[in-house]
Amino acid sequence: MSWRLRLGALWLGLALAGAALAQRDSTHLLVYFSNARLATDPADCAAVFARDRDVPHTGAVATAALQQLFAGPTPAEKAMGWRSPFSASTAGLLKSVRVRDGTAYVDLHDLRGELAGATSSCGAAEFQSQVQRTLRQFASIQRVVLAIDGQPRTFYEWMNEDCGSANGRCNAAAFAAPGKTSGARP
Amino acid sequence: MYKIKFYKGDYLQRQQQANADKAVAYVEHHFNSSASEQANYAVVVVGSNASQTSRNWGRWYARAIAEQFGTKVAGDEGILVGGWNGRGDGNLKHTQMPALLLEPLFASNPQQAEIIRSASGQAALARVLAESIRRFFPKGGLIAFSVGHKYKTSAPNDRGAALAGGGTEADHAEKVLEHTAALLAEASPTPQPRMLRVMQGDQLLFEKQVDEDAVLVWSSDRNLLFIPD
Repeated sequence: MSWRLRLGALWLGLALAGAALAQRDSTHLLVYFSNARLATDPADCAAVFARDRDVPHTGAVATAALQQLFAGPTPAEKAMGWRSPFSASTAGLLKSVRVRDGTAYVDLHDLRGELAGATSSCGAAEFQSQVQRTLRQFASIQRVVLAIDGQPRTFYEWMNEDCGSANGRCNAAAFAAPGKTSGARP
Repeated sequence: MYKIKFYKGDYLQRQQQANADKAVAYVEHHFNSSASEQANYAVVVVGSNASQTSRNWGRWYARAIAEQFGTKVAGDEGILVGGWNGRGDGNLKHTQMPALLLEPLFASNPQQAEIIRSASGQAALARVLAESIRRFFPKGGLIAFSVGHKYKTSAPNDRGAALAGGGTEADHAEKVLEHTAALLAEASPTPQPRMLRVMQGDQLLFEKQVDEDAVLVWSSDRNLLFIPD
C-alpha cells in the first residue's frame, strides 16, 4: 500500500471515530413550531412542523426537547417564517417532566403574563399542538398533562378547559408523586 | 326593549347568574391571538351543547365581521363548536340561552390591533354585534354581556392577550360591549323591515327598503348593486 493510501485510510478512520464520538456526545431531538409558509390552511393554528435540534448527550430527552421548544425559534428560523408562542423570555418555563404509564406530566413555572395570548382559540392551538407534538416524538409518551407550579387546575382554568379524563381530572397528586423524571424512550 | 347587564366573576358564576336572570342571549367578547402577525380571520366559539340558534347567530356574526373588515371566517363556516379541543366550552356550555364567545379580530395582528384601538373600529364592531342581536332576538329582552378575561375572581389581573402596539384584549373588548349596549338601548324592539344601506364609516349615505326575499347582486364591472328580475 502506498503512503498516500495509508494516509487516506488513517484520515478516514479518524473521521469515522470522530463522528461516532460526536454522536455519542450529542442527542438529536425534534421540536415543533408553526410556519404559515408550509401550512396548507393558514387558519389552522394547530399545524406544526419539525425542526432539528442537537443537544449535549442526555437520557432526559423529554426535558431536553421541552427546554429547546420553550426557547422558541432562533432568529434565523424566525426569518424563515417559523413561529411559536415560545421565545427567549419563556426559555425557563419548564419546571419538570415526569413520564409514567404513557403520560408525560409537565410542570411549568407561572409565566402566564408572558404567554397571555395562549388562551385565545388560535393561541391555545399553537401552544398545545407544539407541546404535544414535541413530546409525542417519543414512543413512550401518548398523553400530556400540564400544570403550573404543580397545580393542573391552575393550568386548565387558565386555558378555560374543564378538568376531565383527558387531563387526569386535574389531579395534582400525579405531579407531587415521585416518578422517573423525563424518562422518555426516543 | 333591550336591557343590558354586564356579568362579572368567574365564567361559571356569570353563566349561572345570567340563567337566574332569564337572559335571552349571552355574549362573551374576546379577541384572538397568534404567534404569527399575519393571522387575520374571524371566528366564534359556541358551546358543545349549542342550540341551532346559537350556531346560526355565530355564523351570521362571523360572516358579517369578515365582510366588514375584508377578512375571512375560520372553523365550520365561522364557528368552533365546543371551542378548540374543548377550550372555551366551559365559558358557554352552562348557559340556558343562546350564547357566543366572539373572536372577531386578532390582537396580535398590527393592522387589526389598530382597528381594535380606534374609536371607528370599536364602533364598527359594536354595529355588527348590535345588528346580530336585533336580527336574532327581535323581541328584545335581557342581553347578558361578559368581558373575556376581565373581572374574574380567580384571576383578577388577567387582561388576556396584549394588543400589538399597546393595550390589552380585555380592555378593548369591554369598550366594544359598552358601545354595543348604547346602540341596543336606542334600538326599537319591533321587527324591522329589510333595509338596504350604504354607509361610509358611521355615516349613512343611502337607505331603501327591499323585499325580504330579494337577492342582491353586486356587479364589479358595472359598479352596480342590482336585484335580478
